[in-house]
Amino acid sequence: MSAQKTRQPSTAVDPLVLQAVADVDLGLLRWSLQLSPRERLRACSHAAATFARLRRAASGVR
Amino acid sequence: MPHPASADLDALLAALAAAGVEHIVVGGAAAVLHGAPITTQDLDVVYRQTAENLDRLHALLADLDAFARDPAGRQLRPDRSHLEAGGVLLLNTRLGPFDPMAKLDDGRGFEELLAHSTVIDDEGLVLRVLDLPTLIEVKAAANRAKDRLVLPLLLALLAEQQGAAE
Repeated sequence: MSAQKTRQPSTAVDPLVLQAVADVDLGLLRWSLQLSPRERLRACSHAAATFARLRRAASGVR
Repeated sequence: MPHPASADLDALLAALAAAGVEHIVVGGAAAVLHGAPITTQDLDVVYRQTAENLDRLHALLADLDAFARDPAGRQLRPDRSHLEAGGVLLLNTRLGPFDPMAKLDDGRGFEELLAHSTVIDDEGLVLRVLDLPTLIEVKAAANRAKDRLVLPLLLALLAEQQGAAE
């Protein structure tokens, strides 16, 4: 993987959004960074498919 | 058999690469590729608007059995003129939702975004992805609820990556 650019975003970000950065789960973030890019894609797709199945199941029992 | 409700991101990107479609990954999938632990239902890409690339993308969409996500349930197939027109196509495919677009909301297309993209090469799959600072800028400018939700994570990710690089 190529080196990530390290510049700062030039767009102003809402102060409330900036405040919320302190609440980010760094453990989860670091877990994700340990995966390769394609592993991240697969984990994301697997989770999204699971959520879609759960939504379908939940709508079926209402 | 209905198309899946969520995208197989890896398979869709591999299909784009195999078809030789020049594109830049944007949106949630770009965030995931950079390391954001989020989920996304669809794949968003900005495609290059050259005649050859439009032909390749159009052929791929046919192969993926793509049709528009239509609330009325009609199976409207995208034709080449839709790709030329330059809007965002919201499609269902046999690999899940896929949203190819000629330009971002801010009007920047493939050529303008090229300098703001980075190449990720993993397991033989070479991907061009919107770089993280630009992704943050795009989401901050869009300022939709879903963008505001993911922005803290992207900013923390940028800080984490910068910390690791120092």
